[in-house]
Amino acid sequence: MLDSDKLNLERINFLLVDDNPQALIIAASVLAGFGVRNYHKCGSVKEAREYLSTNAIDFLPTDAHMPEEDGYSLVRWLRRSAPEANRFIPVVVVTGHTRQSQVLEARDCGVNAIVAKPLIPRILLERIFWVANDQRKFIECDNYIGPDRRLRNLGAPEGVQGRRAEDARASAAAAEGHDVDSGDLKRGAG
Amino acid sequence: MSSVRKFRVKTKLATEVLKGGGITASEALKRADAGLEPLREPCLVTVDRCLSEIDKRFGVAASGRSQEEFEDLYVLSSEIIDSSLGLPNSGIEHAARALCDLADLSLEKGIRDWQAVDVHIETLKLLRFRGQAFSQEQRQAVLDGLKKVTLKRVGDSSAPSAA
Repeated sequence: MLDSDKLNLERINFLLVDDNPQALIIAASVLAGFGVRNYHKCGSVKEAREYLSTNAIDFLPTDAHMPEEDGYSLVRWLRRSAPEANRFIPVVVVTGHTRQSQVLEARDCGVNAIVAKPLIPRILLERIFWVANDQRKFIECDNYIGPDRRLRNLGAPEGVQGRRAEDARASAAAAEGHDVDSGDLKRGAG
Repeated sequence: MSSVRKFRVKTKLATEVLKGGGITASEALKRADAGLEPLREPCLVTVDRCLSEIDKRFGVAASGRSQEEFEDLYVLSSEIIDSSLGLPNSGIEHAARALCDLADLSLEKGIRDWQAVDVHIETLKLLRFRGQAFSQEQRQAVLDGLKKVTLKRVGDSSAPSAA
């Protein structure tokens, strides 16, 4: 992100989820600074689920740790059971600390990005730009729904024949000494 | 083998951001920082409340601390991280994160190492009152020392299981 990059978030509907009222005020204040006009705040996953069931939103920043149900559970529900209009929206989990027991859940729930607390405006804005420009495909299978978890495609492990169509191209590119991301693959395939 | 579906999603966020127009990133950041200024004082109040509660319930002078739940220690430390923008450039969020690590590992392993807890609480207090006056090197030295304590005392499964 360059300081001269422009953004217009006036028409984007945000849903903020956090059980800590002060954290909600901080997030709302930061977004207002970014020019966001439409946001709704929810203090629990239950409340957020009800809101998402009847309102279309465009971006969901959610806290990870909440007392009754955590943000990862909300994302998992969103990707599988939310109304179609909300199922593929970008989601950022905001967390101060990830418990050992939740590392895999954080990876596998279907989130687009994770942002560390305390919420630093520059970091959040960079993430918004990053998510908006993210070229990864969405993956739907039995045990995962969300953006491709591979940020870089380095091909199959050495000595293993890859199962994916991209693997051959990625291996060839890796042999030439540069990484291939999903955007490169798309352009290469076109 | 289960079927896998891959597809591209065009989000409204992408459409709007890539369309251009609006304000520059530097202007957005300037406005966001200005919006945070009035929130720093209430955040500092929250940091102090949490730190005081941690000390009262889990500190070295707390006579009933062995009866306290480490889950509460985790939650209070998390709240300090959330509110640490009230104390910028103090390093307190890193010390609070280390205490979260300690509480989480303690819960996982079922051990309570009070010496490690004491070191973390004292470090939080130090950074609360002196952190902003420290140089970056001094702060880093404090935090590096704390990290070693966290890993050594609880990260190591052979650590003493002091009650």
